[in-house]
Amino acid sequence: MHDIYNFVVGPLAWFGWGVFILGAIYKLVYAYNKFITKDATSAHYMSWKFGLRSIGAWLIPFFTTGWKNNPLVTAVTFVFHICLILVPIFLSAHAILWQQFFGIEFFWTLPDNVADIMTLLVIAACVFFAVRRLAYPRVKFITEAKDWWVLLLVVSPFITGYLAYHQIFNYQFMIVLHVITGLAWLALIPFSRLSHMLFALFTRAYIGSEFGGVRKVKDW
Amino acid sequence: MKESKFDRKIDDIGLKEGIAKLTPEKIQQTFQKFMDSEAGAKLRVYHETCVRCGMCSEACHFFVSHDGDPSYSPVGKVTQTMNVLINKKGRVDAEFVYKCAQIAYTECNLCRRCMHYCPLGIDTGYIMSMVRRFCHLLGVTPQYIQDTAHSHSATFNQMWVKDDEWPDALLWQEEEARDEFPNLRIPLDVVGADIMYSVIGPEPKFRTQLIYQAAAILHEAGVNWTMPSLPGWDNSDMAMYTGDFEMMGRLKRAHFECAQNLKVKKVVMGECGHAFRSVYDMGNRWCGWDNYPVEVVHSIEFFAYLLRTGMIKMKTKFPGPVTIHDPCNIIRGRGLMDELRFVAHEIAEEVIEMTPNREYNYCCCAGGGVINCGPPFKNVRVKGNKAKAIQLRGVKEKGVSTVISPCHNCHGGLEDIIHGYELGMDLKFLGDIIYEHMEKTKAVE
Amino acid sequence: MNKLYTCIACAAIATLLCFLPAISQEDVMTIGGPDAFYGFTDPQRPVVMFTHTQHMDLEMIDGSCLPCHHDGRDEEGNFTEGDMVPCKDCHDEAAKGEMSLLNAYHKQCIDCHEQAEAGPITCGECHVKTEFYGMPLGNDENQGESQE
Repeated sequence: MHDIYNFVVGPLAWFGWGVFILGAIYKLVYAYNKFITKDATSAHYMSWKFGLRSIGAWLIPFFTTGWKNNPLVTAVTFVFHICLILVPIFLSAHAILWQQFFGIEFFWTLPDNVADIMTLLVIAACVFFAVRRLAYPRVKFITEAKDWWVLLLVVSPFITGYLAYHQIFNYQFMIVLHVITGLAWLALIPFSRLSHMLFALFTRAYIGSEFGGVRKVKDW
Repeated sequence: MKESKFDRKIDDIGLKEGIAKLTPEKIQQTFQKFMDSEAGAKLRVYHETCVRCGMCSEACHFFVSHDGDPSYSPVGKVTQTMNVLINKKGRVDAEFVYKCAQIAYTECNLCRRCMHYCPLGIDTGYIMSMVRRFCHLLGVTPQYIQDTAHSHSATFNQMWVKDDEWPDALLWQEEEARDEFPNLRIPLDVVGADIMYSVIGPEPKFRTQLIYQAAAILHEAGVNWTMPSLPGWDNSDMAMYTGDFEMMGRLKRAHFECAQNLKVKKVVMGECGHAFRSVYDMGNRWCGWDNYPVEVVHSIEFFAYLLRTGMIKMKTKFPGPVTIHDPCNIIRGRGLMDELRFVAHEIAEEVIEMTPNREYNYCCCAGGGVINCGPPFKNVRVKGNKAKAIQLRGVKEKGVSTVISPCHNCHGGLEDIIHGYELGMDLKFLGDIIYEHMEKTKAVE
Repeated sequence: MNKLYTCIACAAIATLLCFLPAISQEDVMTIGGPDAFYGFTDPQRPVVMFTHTQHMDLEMIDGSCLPCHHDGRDEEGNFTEGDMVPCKDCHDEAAKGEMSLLNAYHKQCIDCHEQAEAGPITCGECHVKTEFYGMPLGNDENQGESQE
């Protein structure tokens, strides 16, 4: 089992990180090139001021029209994303790995009991999203297979992580599964719906620039 | 997503004839070329990153009016059109192109209300205009709007107004107006005038009194103005909405060349929405201009200026409460909501607002070229805007029977809604009220 | 004379008491927990069981005190032998960085286990949970130790 573990946290981890980083760079560079060549008449209007204004406005829960009109989704979305970002980075067990593999030392890590709750929140949020996809006609209609895959992709490291942390079922098997699902998640960020993680700031900044600079109205 | 069935197909000869000429190879090749040469990062990134949350749904008046039918939501329309095209790399049949065209041309007004709802800032209006572009490249466009686009290419105006009919219409209005204002002129081709007044094709065609009114207001204000007698006078741009961007660019170029030949300082345009969009947002970009080469002032801004400076004084105000319908292309498109309110409050005794209003207004459902798709799609517009009818009925119950809207398309759309839902309300342009209630110092009694 | 015997006896007892901890070294040590002899009074993770003799008997250690009981490094970077004191006497529990007690334990244990290709290397193998909100999980507290 340790051989497998060493393989997944060793070569496979490097592969996962490599795909993530190189893929992200490729995607961003490709999009940037397309943007300034094919969408030059849009790129021209990019503005720091309005771009940041728009990003800022949409980072405040319940501030924008979209957030206000969907309070439950807003609450779940914010909690989900905050937990989704903080837990994988600042979990104390992950901090050990950051230290072990990258030599990065954190001055603060999430207390385990807090991280435990945050993990459950992520899983609960995913259940919420799944129920929404099934039960809400407006979402059901637009749901594709890849929306389900991405949900599964996101939730699986959290489920396996939770089970591994609590050592329910076979711990060694679970920890390996956890690493594999986590790496899959990372590696597929540039190549799935998760790419909104890479592009959200840019799409937001762009439309903010258009609305602020050209259309002179708020985009929220 | 399951291949959703499309049970609302409407017979349109333009679309029918259009798809009859298609072969799967042609569709695929055209799409490939479209993706390679025209579509850039925006379309691709939007396609990839939309997480299908459905939050944009209730932004759309079509969705709201159809009691939450998901196939009318902004993302629903994208899912049924561009999403499939990209996923299948254009390997679709002609019938699918028909569906794309019907959705893109007649079930989306490109009003961009959904932009207030999308956390990721995905520009659904842009995606739908790209679907239109693709349909245009295939020659699948609704007959009526294509007819206006043909008119644009042949005559540089939207309504097949012939070269001699245009000055004739102006002279006719001048003559009419001189009964009221003896010294009134509609000055043609005055080089070096301060202002060139430009209108859309339908004004000489069937809203000619608007030219009369504008002439009266400009005359009363003592403005040094002119109108061009040659093609280029029309500021409208239906080619922008069919996806014929080449023609859109030529039209804008002709219009501004007209203004530059006359060496005017500014172009003042009539109360039109889409023409304004074509100069500040779309046509200028196609021509590679950062902004318009000659400043274009919308009627709202111009009336606000005339009223602020006292060049026009109101003798009376419009009696009784009015409400304001905010046209998307001027308000959400250019932020003139405060100017519009300034003018409305100057000219009317009481203004009762509808909600949502200002940049959050519901579209009239006629804009974006939808009304120009003609009679076959009239019911699409009327049924698709129950939301607006409910809004209007709300203010009607508060005693409002007059709606101000400074946009021709909005007038067309709202008229049908008012009749369709038997609301019994009047529609007014700002110019209607100003002309009616201003001090006419230069008029004979 | 009696006094002399008493003195000798006292000295002997005192000496014995001095060495008692070393001699009576509990074989299974618990790192973390209320007594805190090896640090971490209130650990976030389950306490870690460590069997001293089992490690001493290993071939690669062969009764030597290094590399665990170290004190600084020589010119070649190898540990020099140090006092037989708990790690926490030098590695501060509250500290951050390489010298912290947390790091010292993790590094010492995992590196050695990796090198030996034996012994636990993942979190849960040392920090063994025995129950999940009161429900016994059937995990053996000493399971990490038993792996060779």
